[in-house]
Parts: sequence; structure tokens; C-alpha cells
Amino acid sequence: RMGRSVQPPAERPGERRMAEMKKLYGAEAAKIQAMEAAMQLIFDRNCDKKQPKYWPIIPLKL
Amino acid sequence: MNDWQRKSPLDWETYVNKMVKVAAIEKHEYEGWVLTVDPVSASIVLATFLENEEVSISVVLGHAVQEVEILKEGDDEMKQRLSCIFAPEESKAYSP
Amino acid sequence: ASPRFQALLGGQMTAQAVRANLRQRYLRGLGAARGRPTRFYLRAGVQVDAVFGAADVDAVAFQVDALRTPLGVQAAALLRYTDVLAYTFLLE
Repeated sequence: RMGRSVQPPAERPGERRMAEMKKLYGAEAAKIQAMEAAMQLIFDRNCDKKQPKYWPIIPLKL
Repeated sequence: MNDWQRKSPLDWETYVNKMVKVAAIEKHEYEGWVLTVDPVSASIVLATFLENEEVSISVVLGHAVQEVEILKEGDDEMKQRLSCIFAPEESKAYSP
Repeated sequence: ASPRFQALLGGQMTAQAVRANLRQRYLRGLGAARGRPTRFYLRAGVQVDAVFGAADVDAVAFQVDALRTPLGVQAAALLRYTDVLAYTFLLE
């Protein structure tokens, strides 16, 4: 219990992201975040399922 | 970062609903009506209307954009047409 | 609040609303691209056709399917944003 007043609670990454989103998008932040989360979910799921490799293997822009 | 990527959302918005010519690196050129500019990547989304009711969408990535020239302003009818292109499905159902 | 502060605040709110609208339209565009045959124009004059899968939200990579490379078809692949100059697809 004592530790609580000494150490600030660990910042949750989700909260930080929401604060950034608020600053960028104001009142629409939650909506944009939901749309992004949906898009990212599809991307992550496809990567898990299909294990795509980068093409070309070496970046064209070095 | 190039000059285009450094612009503000308010700057990018001035291109929306305008017919533009985008000059990109490696001598690429694209023409079309601006649907939006992604504020994260500065990518420009362009629409061109083809004869058979098809719409061609071109996205020029922000890092590749060198210059954007406005060729024409869109009238109200064009704005309406453009706003319908990526409209969510539920609102599409209600439009004629 | 002073009128100057209010004007500043109003300006910030306008910028946020504009940014949100631009972003929302862009994300819908990515949604519309999903599953569509897409031509990608890469650096060094490289052109490849693939089926658009998804893009990550931080603009790092596109996930594509059935990528036709000069050496054959790759069932799934990632294309780097930094390699891609532009891409096009059709809506009917």
C-alpha cells in the first residue's frame, strides 16, 4: 500500500495511445481508434495465418 | 520528409474534391479527383471515373509525392459523387 | 477565456475535425481495397499485381495475396511502404 504513494501506477499503453488520439482527432478519437483497431486486427490475423514474407527480400530503397 | 508530408491537415484539405495532377518520384504522374489525404502517411487517394460506371482508385504514397497541381475545382454534383465512393454500406442502402 | 485563447482553441478543434475526416475517409478507402486485384508501382520501375489484403495502421507494410513476381506467384507477401510509390484498383 505504501508503495502506491511513492511509485506512480504503471502507465497503460492503451491510455497513452488514447491520449495521443484525443490530441490528434479530438471528439472523433474513439471512432478513429475503433476503425484503426479493426484494420490492424485484419492485418495481424492475416500475418499470423499466412506468414507472409517481405517482397522483395531486400528493400528497393536502401 | 518531403514538403508534401510536412503540410498540415488544413493544407491537405484544400485539395479534397479537386482534380489534380500528382508528380511523384521516378517520373510517375497521376491524375484524378482527390478523395482524401491520409494525415498519417500523407498518401493521396485519387478517383477517376471510367466509361462503364467503374471507378479507378489510385493511391500515391506520401513519401513519393513531389508536386500536386490543381487542375479543376469540383462542383456540388462532383462533390456528392465523390463522397459516395467510400461511403459506409448502411448509408449506401438509403441513397437512390 | 480571452477571445484570443478561444480563437486558438477553435482553430485546434477545426484542425482535429479536419484531420479526423481525412483519416476516416482514408481508412474507408483501405477497407474498399480489400480483396481487390491491385497493381503496385514500386521503386526502380518495378510493377507487380496482387490481391490487396490489408495495411497496418502505422503505414509500414501492405499485406497482399497472390503476388505475381517475375519468379512466380507468392501466395502471401508483405510490400514495404518505402518500396511502393503508388497502387491502383478498380471499384465497380
